[in-house]
Amino acid sequence: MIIRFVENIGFKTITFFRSIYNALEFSLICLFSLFSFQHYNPQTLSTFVKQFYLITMASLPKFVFLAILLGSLLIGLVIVVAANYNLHLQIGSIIVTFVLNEFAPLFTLFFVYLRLVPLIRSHLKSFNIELLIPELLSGIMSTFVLSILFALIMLSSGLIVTSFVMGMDLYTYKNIIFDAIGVQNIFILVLKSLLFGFVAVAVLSYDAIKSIKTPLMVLLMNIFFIEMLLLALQTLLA
Amino acid sequence: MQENRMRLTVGIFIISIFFIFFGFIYLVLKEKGTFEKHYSYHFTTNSAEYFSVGTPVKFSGFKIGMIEDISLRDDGLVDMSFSVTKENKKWISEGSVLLIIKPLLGAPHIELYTSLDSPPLEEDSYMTMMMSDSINDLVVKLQPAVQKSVDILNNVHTITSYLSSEDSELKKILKNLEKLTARLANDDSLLTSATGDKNATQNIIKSINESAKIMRDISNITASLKEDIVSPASSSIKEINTILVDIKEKLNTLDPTVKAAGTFDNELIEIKEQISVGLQKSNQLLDKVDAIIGDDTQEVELP
Repeated sequence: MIIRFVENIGFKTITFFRSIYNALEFSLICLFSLFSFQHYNPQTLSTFVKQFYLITMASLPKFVFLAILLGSLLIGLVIVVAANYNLHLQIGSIIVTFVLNEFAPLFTLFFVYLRLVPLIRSHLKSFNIELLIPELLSGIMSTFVLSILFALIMLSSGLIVTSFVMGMDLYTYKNIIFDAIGVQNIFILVLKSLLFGFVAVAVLSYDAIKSIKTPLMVLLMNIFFIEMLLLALQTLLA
Repeated sequence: MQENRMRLTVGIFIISIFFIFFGFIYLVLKEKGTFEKHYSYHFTTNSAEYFSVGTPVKFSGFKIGMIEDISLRDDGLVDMSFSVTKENKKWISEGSVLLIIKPLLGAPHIELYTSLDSPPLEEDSYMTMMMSDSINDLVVKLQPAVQKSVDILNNVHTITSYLSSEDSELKKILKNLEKLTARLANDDSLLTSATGDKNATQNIIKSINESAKIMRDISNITASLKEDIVSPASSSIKEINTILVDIKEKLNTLDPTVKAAGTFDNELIEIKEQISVGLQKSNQLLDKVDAIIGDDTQEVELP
């Protein structure tokens, strides 16, 4: 009985580490395949354009609508809370950090992930590097482009909310935002959106090939890991 | 055809987004003066506490520059450099002083105080950084008073604790009084013989009963005084002490401003004197003009 119990623990541990090893191996293969240009062919570009169109362009009105709705609501809440706590001097920094560093990449990741689920499951049945490259490219590119768009929409929404809540005009808002924004904020936005895009496609592709039980949980763990990594990076840069 | 159209749409979209994105980055960098020439200035402090690379330098609440370099010298002092753009160079003049502002919330920043009439300061010059301790002095003076207040409250606390305890003299007196009044209330013959009036005796008994009730109330109030007033007051004094220490730090930042304002007083006196002299001269001039005009006035006789 005890031996069976110990055996089970050993089996679970081996399975856990093997699955982590497989996932890491798969991620590295995906990453290196992106830079192995011998796998690129005219069909890759064609598939990439189609996938990108389906993920981004086909749902652009929905995305813009959600960005305006959610963006205005959340930025409004953040500004009201900041104003209640007399953080008027830090309002620019709060808006920039919240929008560029956190919310824009995260929201775009979930949006792209939901768009990618049916596409990848229908296209990718087995491991094929030629099929995987356009998926990765379209996922990364979509997340990157939509994150930028979302950030710009949300910053514009911030102007509307600040003008209502604080009576701020365009010139003051522009100065506050440009004063608060730093190269590191843009760098974090770009890096995070690229990483999120890669992770979303990698997790879904791995799920399509190996059928893992909880792909969303794996995605969330990856997000957590990336957030921690970038937080450490920001702390080091500061 | 369908695919070509799709490619065109995607191409236009990506180019538009990239154009907007890089345009935005260009605007941000332009606003930050990245493409402009920067002019460096330096200052020295005893400690690099509250300073870091990127700490903004503000003038009238507007960011005009930021700290770019911090280095520890061999003599233990800290050398700091900050730079401003050509547009903001005009705010830095001879006699300008810097003051570190440490808000309760948020990152500290450096405020520039300048006299706009003074000539502009040359590039790579050293400026004065104000780190006043006047508030510390105030708090040091206040701290003994606060300590005495704490001692007084502790004594009051001890006294009230004793008074509210069961074996205190006050409690014993109150109990004795209660017994005495009870006896007087039950047996009125003693009082009647003293007063000679039955009604007066009854009134006295009634008054004594009421006095006993009042004394019981006083006893209860004394017992609750400790919990309701003394203990909170004691903790409040301790909090005030903490706040005063905090105020000390805040006032440190204000002292240079007050000193700067003090220099304006002298300038105002000089201006006042100059105006006074000017007025006297004007009056003299006006008198002369009056005299001249007065001389020329001739009465005209009508035909």
